[in-house]
Amino acid sequence: MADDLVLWIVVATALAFDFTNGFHDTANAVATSISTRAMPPNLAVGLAASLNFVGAFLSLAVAATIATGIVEPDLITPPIVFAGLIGAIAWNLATWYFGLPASSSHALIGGVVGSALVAAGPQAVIFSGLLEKVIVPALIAPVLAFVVAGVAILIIHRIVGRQRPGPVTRGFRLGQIVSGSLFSLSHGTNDAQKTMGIIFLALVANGNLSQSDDVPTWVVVSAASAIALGTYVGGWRIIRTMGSRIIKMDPAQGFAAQATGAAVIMSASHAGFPLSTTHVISGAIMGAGAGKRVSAVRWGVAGNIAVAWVLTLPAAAAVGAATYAVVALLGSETLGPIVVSAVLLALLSVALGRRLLAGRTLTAEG
Amino acid sequence: MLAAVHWGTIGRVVWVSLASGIAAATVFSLVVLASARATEHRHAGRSAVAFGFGVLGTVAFAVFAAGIALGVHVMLQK
Repeated sequence: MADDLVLWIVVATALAFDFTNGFHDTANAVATSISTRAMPPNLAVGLAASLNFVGAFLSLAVAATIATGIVEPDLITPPIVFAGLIGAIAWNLATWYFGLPASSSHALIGGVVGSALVAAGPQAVIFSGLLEKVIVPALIAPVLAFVVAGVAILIIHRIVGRQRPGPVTRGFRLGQIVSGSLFSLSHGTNDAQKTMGIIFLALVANGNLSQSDDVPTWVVVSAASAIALGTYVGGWRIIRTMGSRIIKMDPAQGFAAQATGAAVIMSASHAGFPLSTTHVISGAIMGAGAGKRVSAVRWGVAGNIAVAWVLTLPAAAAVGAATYAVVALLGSETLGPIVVSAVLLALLSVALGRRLLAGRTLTAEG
Repeated sequence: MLAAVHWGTIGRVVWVSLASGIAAATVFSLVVLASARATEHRHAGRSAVAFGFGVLGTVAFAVFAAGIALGVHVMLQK
C-alpha cells in the first residue's frame, strides 16, 4: 500500500515534469512562427499543443530507449526516480526563469543519474550509455541542425533572392505554418515519450511491469495530455529568446529553421535516437541566421545558451542527488517522497499565492 | 567506451537529415518562386509563361506535400 502511494507520487511528479517539458519546449515549435508573424501567438500555441498530443501516440521507439541503457534498471527504486524528476523540474524552471532554451531530456537524465549515484553508487550508472545517449547527441544535434539550416537558407536565397519581397514573405509564412506543424508533431513523437519512459521505469522498479512489457495505454494518454497542456500554457520567456534574441528572423529563415529542424528530429526519432529538440531548433535558428550573415547571430546570447546546455546534466544531477539525500535522511523510502513532495507543493502554493496577490497571471508568461 | 556508440545509426541520422532538410527547403523555394513568377507574368499578359510557372509550382508543391506525407508515414511506421 505504502509502496503504491510512493509509485503514484512518482507518476504525478513525472507528469509534472512532462508539463514543464511542454511549456519549456513550446518555444521550439512556435517561436519562429510568432516572431515572423506567420501565426498569432494564441493560435500558434493551440496548434502546437494539439499536434504534440497527437504526436505522442505515433511512436514509442524513444520511450523504449530512454528507460534503458543509462541507469541499471535493477538498482533503480521509485524514490531514485522521484529525486531525479525533482532535479529535472528544478532545472527546467530555473532555465525558464532566465529565458534559456535548455534540454528537458538531458535535465531528466541528469536528475536520475545524480540520484542513482547517491543511492546506489557508480555501478548504478552506465557511463557508456550516458556517452551514447546524451553526450554524443548533444554534440551532434546543434552542429548538424546548424549546418543543414545554413545550407538550406543559402539555397533559399539563391532561388528566391531576386523576387519581390511581398509574395516571398507570404509564401514562406504559409510554409512556416506547415513546417511548424510538422515540428510540433515530431516534438510530440520524441518528448512525450521520455515521460512515458520514466513512468515505465518506475513501474518496473515497483514490480508492476517487467522490462519486456509494452508501455501501458494510460501512461501514453496521461503523458500526451500533460505535454499538450504544458505546451498550451507556453513558456513565453524562452519564446522571446528563441524568436527574437538569437537572430532577427525573416519568414524564409523561420521556414529554413523549422523545416530543417523537423527533418533532423524526424530522422532521429525514426532511428529511436533520443535527440534534444531544443538543441536541434536552437542550432537551426543560429544556422539560418549565420547562413545569411555570420554577424546576424547574437553570439553572446548563443554563448549563454551553450553554457546552459553544458550545465544541464551536472546541475540537474546535483539537485537530484541532493533530493535523494534528503529522502534518505528521513530514513524511509516511503516517508521521504511523501514529505519532500508535500514541502514542494507547499512552496509552490506560496509562490502561486504571492503571484495572485501581486495581481499577476498564473501562466508561464510572467 | 567509444565502441558503445552506434556510429552507423548516427551516420544515418546525419545523411537523412541533410538530404531531407535541404530537399524540403529547395522544393518549397521552388513553390514560392513559381507562384510569384506566375502571378507577375499573368499580370503582364504573358499567359503561356504564367501557365509554365503554374505547372512548375504545382509539381513542386506536390513533391513538398509528398515529402510531408513521407515524414508522417515514417513516424507511423515505428
